[in-house]
Amino acid sequence: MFLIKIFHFLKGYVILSIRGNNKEEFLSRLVKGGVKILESITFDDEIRIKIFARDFFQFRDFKPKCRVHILKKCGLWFWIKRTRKTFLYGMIIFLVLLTLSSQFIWDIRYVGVENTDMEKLEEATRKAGLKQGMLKANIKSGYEMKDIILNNTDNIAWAWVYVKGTVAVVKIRENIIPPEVFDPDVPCDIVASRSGLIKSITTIRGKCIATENQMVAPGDTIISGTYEFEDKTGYQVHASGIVKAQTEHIRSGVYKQVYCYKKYTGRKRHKVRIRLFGLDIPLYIKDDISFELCDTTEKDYDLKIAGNYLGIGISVKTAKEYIEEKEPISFESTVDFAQKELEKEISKELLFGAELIDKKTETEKIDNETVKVTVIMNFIEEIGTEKRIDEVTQVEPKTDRIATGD
Amino acid sequence: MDIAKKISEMLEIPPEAMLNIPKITMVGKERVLVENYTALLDYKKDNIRLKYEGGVIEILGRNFEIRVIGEENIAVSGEITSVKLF
Repeated sequence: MFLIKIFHFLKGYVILSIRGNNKEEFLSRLVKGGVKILESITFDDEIRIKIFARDFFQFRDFKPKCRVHILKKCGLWFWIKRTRKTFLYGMIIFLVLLTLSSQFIWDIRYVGVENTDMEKLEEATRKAGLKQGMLKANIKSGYEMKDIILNNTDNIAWAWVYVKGTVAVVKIRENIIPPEVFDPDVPCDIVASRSGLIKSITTIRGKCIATENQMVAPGDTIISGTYEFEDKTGYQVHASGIVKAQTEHIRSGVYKQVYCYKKYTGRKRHKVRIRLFGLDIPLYIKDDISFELCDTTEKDYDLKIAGNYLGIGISVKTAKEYIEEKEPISFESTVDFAQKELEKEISKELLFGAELIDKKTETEKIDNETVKVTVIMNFIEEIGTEKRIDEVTQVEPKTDRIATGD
Repeated sequence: MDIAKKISEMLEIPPEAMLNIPKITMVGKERVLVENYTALLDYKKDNIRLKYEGGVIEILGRNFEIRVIGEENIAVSGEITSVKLF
């Protein structure tokens, strides 16, 4: 029935009132003439019929000999006809607003930001004259903005502002800071970057002052770049060499013999905000989600025409409630899980080319549910690192007394 | 007419299809379907009169409403008390 009503609305229909002596005869003639009567109802001296708009336009051909009145014209066709002017004005206003709104910047997006301080970058962008709601025509040139952004931020190698529709995209490239490499002419020592038991030292240049099987602490000099002679004179060189040492890495943690996982309850809450030409209008009073445990996601829906953002959009923040479920697991599984986690942590602090030589896991039961796991790993690592000699005592080399490395 | 009637009887063709005589179908007291009518003569809340080839059908009752009306058939709903053929 509902579908039929929709069909009638789309085609358009007319409700007519027929009065007079010949109303039945007129109705018969309509039917014989191919007019489809959709509904009909009678009163004492009146018949009301519903016919399609298309049939109504052929009505003159039937020449009624009774009084026929239009009671109602309904449907899409009549609605468009009735509202044609209003519709036209609305369209014009919409197009004007659309054209006007597309002349402004309604959103600023940043691409390539990983380690850069966002506040500083936004401040630099503001200084470059880029703001929400500004006219696109007032945007400075790309070179000008690039210079301002680079001068007001650290760690950015390149920046450029692209205007895509009503969105300004600030694209940046961050500096990759290379490890400090000293000039071969700069005097430096080789020092231990971490504590360990020295296993081998290969001196390329400088004076080795540590021995094998010696324990060193971070910062201890292993190969010195300073040569001193008995007469208190000497000179300094850029020391170099390979120092391999056995290092010990210990990590421990307390673990429960339970496996925790999230179980979603199916309850969701949505917080909707309307973004209107740079304004953020929340459609809620309280920001509080009021779930004890939940995962939140935020999705933006932008109004776009031909890929151009029109400055209007909505942001939906969805909170999915979950409860934390716990399942008991065996002692072995807990230790296995803990071991993997602790090994992962240790692997983050290893130096390049580290070789594992020994691994040990110690466990200690704290209570029936808790276990303390300690992982001890021994590696051979190259712990030698260059350290600039700050105070140069004597720069002039003495050619007659050249000292070579040990 | 008689020849047509005889042919329809002989060939076992339904007479309403060949002779244009009305076929009246009633569904309880609520609905009546008349096929092969030629004109609507009267349409009132308590009385509907239809013309067919050779006479008039009068449907009496209360709260009549034409549900479907086509060139050859008409369905009426309401509280039907009697159907008369003249």
